[in-house]
Amino acid sequence: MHYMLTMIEPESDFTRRSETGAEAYWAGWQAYTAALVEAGVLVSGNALKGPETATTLRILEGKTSIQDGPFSEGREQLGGYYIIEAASVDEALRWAARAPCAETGAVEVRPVLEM
Amino acid sequence: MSQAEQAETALAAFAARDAFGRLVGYLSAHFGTLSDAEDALADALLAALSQWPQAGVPANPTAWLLTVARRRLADGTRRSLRAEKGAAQLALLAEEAEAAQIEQGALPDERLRLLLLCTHPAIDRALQAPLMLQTVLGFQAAEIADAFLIAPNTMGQRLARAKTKIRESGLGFDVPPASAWPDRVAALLDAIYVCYKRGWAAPAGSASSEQRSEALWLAELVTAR
Repeated sequence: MHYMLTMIEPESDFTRRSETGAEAYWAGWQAYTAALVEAGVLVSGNALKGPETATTLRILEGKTSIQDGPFSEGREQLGGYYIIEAASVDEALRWAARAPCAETGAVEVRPVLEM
Repeated sequence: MSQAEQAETALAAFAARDAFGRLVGYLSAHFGTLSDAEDALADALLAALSQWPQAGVPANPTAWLLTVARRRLADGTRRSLRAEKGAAQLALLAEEAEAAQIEQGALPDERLRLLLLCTHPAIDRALQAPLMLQTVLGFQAAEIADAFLIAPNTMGQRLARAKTKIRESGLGFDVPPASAWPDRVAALLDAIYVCYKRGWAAPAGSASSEQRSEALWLAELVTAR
C-alpha cells in the first residue's frame, strides 16, 4: 500500500534552510531520502520552497480569489512530502519517526486512495 | 564641489532617475527576474553617478545605462548557461540586435507590463502599490513608507519579501486577460495617486515634479485601455 508522509516544519526549520546550519539541515534530509531509497520503499517525493512563496486560490460563489500566502496561516507549514510503499500504517509510521522534522515539527501519515 | 559640478551632478541624477522605470521594465521583462534587473541597474546607476559628473551626461543616457546593466546581467546569465552549447553565441546575437534597437531609439516600453506584474493577486494587495512606486517609478523605500504611514524598515522588509515571492514562485510577465483588469487596476490607481500627490507641490523641473508627470503618464496609460 502507498502512504503519503507529509512533512510539517516549523518556521525555524525553514529559516535553517538558508542560514548557517543549512548544510546540516539538508544533510539530514539527504540521509533520510537515501535510507528510503536503499530500503526500496520510496515511490516519489519532493521538497517545497517555503510558505512565503505560496499562493492560494479559492472560488467563492463563482468568483476566483487568489491570495498571497499558504492556505492556513500558522507556525508550522508544509515543507515537502514522500510517497512510500509500506505493508502497514505501523511500517509507515516507523519511517515517519525517522524524518528530520519529526523532532522539530510533525509528520502526517495517510494512506493513498487506490483508484 | 563647484557650482558647475553641482549642476552636472544634479543633471546626472535627473537623467538617471528619468530612465529608471523604463529600464527596470525592459530588463526584467526580457532578461531575468525583477531583483536581478534592479541589482544590475543599481550597479549601472552607481557607475553613472560617479562618471557622468566628470565626463558629462552621454548623448543617450538610457542606452548608456542599459548597456552597462545588460552587461552585468549577461555575466550572470552566462555563468548559469555555461553548460548549454551555443548559449554564449546566442547572447552575443541578442546583444547586437538590442544595440541596433537602441540606435533607432526604439526601446520597447515595458513599464505597463511591469506595473501589471506588481498587481498580480499572488502579491499581497497592500504591497502592490508600494512595489510599483519602487520598481517602476524609482521611489525610495523611505518615501513610500512615509506615504503609506508605515515605518521605513518595515516597508523595506515587506518590499524585499514581495520581490522574493516574485522570484521564487515564478511570477511571470503575462499580460492578464481583460476580465482581470478591473480587479487589478485598483492598486495601480493607488500608486498613481501617491505619485501625483508627491509631485503636486514641487517646483517645475525638480525630481518631484517629474514624478507628477510620471503619474499623469500612468493615468493616461490606464484610461487608454
